[in-house]
Amino acid sequence: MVGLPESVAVIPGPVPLHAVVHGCACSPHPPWGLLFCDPFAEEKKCAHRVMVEAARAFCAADLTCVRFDYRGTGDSPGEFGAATPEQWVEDILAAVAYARQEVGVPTLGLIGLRLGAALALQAAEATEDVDFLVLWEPVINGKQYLTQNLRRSFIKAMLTDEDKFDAGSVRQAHEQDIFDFDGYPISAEMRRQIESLDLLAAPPEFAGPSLVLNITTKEQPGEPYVALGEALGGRVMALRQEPFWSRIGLIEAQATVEATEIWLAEQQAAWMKDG
Amino acid sequence: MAVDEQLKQQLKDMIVERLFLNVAPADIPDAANLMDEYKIDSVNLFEIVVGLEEEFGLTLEDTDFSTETFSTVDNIAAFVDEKRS
Repeated sequence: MVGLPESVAVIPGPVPLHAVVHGCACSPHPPWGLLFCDPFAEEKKCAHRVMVEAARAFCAADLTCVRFDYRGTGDSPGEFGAATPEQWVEDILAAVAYARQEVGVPTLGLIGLRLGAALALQAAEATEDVDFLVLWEPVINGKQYLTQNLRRSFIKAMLTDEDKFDAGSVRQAHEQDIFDFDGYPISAEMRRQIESLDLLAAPPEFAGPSLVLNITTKEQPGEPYVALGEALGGRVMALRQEPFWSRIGLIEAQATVEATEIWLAEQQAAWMKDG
Repeated sequence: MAVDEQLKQQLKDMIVERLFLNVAPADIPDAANLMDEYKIDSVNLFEIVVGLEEEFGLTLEDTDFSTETFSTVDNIAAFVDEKRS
């Protein structure tokens, strides 16, 4: 993987977005490419290195990869607290157009992790320019996602100072107009949009090939992941691996990357066979 | 095996599996402080909470959160028993 070209780019759109294009050793660019859709808040921070290493691994397997920061995150301009998931779907669509038109990727897939996977699916439903989807541990239900965050806040507050821990105060702080989501200020509008997220509420409109990975401790994928995979008409797999999106310092996600590479190779072979 | 012993074994299995601990479940003493002995942090504790909900069918309330409740297998088993009763 050493020596593969990587270049910083700016994706034009409603807000210019900071991006990194992982080119390939072959020239011109190979026909397949992946656009990375990052997770949210602390999960983005924890998973950053895995996403970079994954892009380099896919690039070494002859896929052009584009990573970018949503507006208000990473190196992209904008206020985090003012951004919304709907705007981030717009950002994905701007990045899709950039990957196709500027980078020159004719067959493009979205690869998303956690909330990024949910946004990737929404973006794929809004355009015909996405050919396939890879969803890593997608957030399927927004309400459940926020409830889990509240639980995390309870636990952190409890372990930080048990004597002062008061679950009522933590919950109250979560019900403010702007509340702390694991260290990130969330606006009421962002909360409303996340709460309304339910990938199983209606049949997905995306009809291309898809892979849903449930990264878990179990042999079989969980029920909601199976339901999502079936609704998409794609493949769903369970993968035994630690949740790298919630661990600072853990950057090993080889099993996830390898499973994805195998699936991508199968898709490429099928497309070549079908002409 | 008494029901509570079986429950403790199930809890140990769940903890080892979810936390990727490099220890045999049966080797976890019932009264061992999980945070001290197995370096359980907030991320690990969250995994245990999710495991209790998903695998033991519990619904945790705000008032259920205390370090005492999750400190040992004995305490977690007592908590599960109480929630189920």
